[in-house]
Amino acid sequence: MPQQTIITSIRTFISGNFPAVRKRKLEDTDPLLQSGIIDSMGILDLVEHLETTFDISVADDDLVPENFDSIENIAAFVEKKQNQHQSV
Amino acid sequence: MEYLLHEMIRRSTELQPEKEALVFKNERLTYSDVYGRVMSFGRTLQQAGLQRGERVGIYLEPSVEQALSIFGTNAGDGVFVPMNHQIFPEQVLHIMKDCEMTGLVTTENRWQALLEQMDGPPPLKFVLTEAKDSPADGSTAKINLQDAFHTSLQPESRCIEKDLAAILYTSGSTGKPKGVMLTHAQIMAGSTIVSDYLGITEKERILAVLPFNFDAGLNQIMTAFQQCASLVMMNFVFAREIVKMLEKESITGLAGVPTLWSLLSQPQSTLDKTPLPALRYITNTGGAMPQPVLAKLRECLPQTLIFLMYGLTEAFRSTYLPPDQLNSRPTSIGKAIPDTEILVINEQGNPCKPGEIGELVHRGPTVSLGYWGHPDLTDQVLRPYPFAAPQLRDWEKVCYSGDLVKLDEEGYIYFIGRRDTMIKSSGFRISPTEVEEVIFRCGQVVGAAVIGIPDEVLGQHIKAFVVRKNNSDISTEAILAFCAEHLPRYMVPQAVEFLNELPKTPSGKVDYPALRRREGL
Repeated sequence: MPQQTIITSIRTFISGNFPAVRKRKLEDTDPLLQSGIIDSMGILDLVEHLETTFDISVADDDLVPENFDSIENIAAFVEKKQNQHQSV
Repeated sequence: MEYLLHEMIRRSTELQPEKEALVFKNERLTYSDVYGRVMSFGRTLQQAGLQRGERVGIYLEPSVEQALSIFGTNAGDGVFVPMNHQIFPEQVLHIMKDCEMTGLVTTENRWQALLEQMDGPPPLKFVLTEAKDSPADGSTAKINLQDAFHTSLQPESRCIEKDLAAILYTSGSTGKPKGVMLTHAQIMAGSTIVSDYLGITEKERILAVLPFNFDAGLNQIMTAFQQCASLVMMNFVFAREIVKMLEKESITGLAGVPTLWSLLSQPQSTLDKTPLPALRYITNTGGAMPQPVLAKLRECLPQTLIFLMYGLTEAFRSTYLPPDQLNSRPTSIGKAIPDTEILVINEQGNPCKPGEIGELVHRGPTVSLGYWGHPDLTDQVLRPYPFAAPQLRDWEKVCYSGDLVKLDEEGYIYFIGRRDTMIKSSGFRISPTEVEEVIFRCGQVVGAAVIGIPDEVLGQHIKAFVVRKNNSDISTEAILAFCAEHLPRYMVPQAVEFLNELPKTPSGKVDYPALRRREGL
């Protein structure tokens, strides 16, 4: 899946489930975690969504803020996991 | 002796100046660092015009600055008003107005967002942010936050322990959040009492993840500095980061709310794979710990003492269940904390017998002074001690909690529910009317009522009953989105149900019990 499709899918999920973003214009690089758009309960929903939508398995070691702190970083993380998956 | 909150730091500094006091990210401050910065901050505020007893808001993310502004405000003879960094500008503006705030400690981004929402010039004497050489906004002076901590000046303190130290904003069953007033003596008593039953000593390394605007979170920093212990602060997104921090910093004590423990008890947190031999105790407050979560924690942390606690901001801290009672009565909120008496009083005003449901009434040194600027509400919650000898007149006030409880034969207390409609979700107190007002503001509804639905993880979640205007077809999603734009996430309902009309009582008010019955509650 090309990266732009991943980005669009993640953005749709975030605007659907975290409506606080509708108030502001959300850039792909905007912080999601510090800004309080996604809290620690919400992030688990996001992880579950990524696992089912992109058929990846998020390991314990992947659960670090750096992988999830912007739409761009989440997309990069998903791509990395997909590539890992294919090479196995 | 120390009588004021910042004097606890002075005493700990005299005892062990080089001891690690505060850790955040890669900053590690000794007691002597902390004391120097706190004193400097106090003097800076006084130079900026802070008068004794004036209020200073703290609207920052967890950080060294956030922690030290608390004591620094007290050192300048001021009253600190800590605010959760998750709340929105409109809620901050409410607090600012309600407590007639003099100064604010925040970030430049947050300050600009507040300015955008103000009707006129800012009503403050000064604001501290990270901006350098920033011009005044109207008559509000701008001060650099780092500079404030690094002068070599000493404040002039005239406060005594009877003076106000803090105002903690919390919600009730109606209206906007109200500020609970606490004196130095009351907060200090809370710290001494909790240190006593948790056995906190200078050996402790306490991890602070609860916000300081929450009485239990504030109490953690107070006990740490009072006992010359070390406090580690952190921001977290994943429960796993907390587990890593517990391990890395050899944390001995952690306080949490049920939501946090639910996150920690899930496998992704790696709590079950991480040995934590240093972790001496954990405490739960802000709602009942779900039993499966409690069982999981006991399994993962066999060496750790688990204290289940109960308290309300109006009386700071009230009861705890000693760890040795966890097996025999895991659903109890325990007994009175030291130096405190908990009464269970029935509708007739008499003490309840075992098994009889009554209101929890708290008597002791941590009973607050009530709500800032709301004498009528204060008089409902703080009333004369009903069993005082007539000679003592109405001198002593006790706190009527609004929580319904019952006692067992051995005097242990069990929480039953609220007397009013207040909702408690993930440790936050939520007023139904505050959520309802926002739903009304979307302009497409003629009726809205929200209730709390029992929730395994959150304690309660919010359900909204909405009556749409005749010509409106506003959707659930649109209502929830509107709420999320105007309310912090913990106040946003999880479910909406549309009704043709809301059930009403004969006097025309919303019949909340009828709504709860609809849900089988």
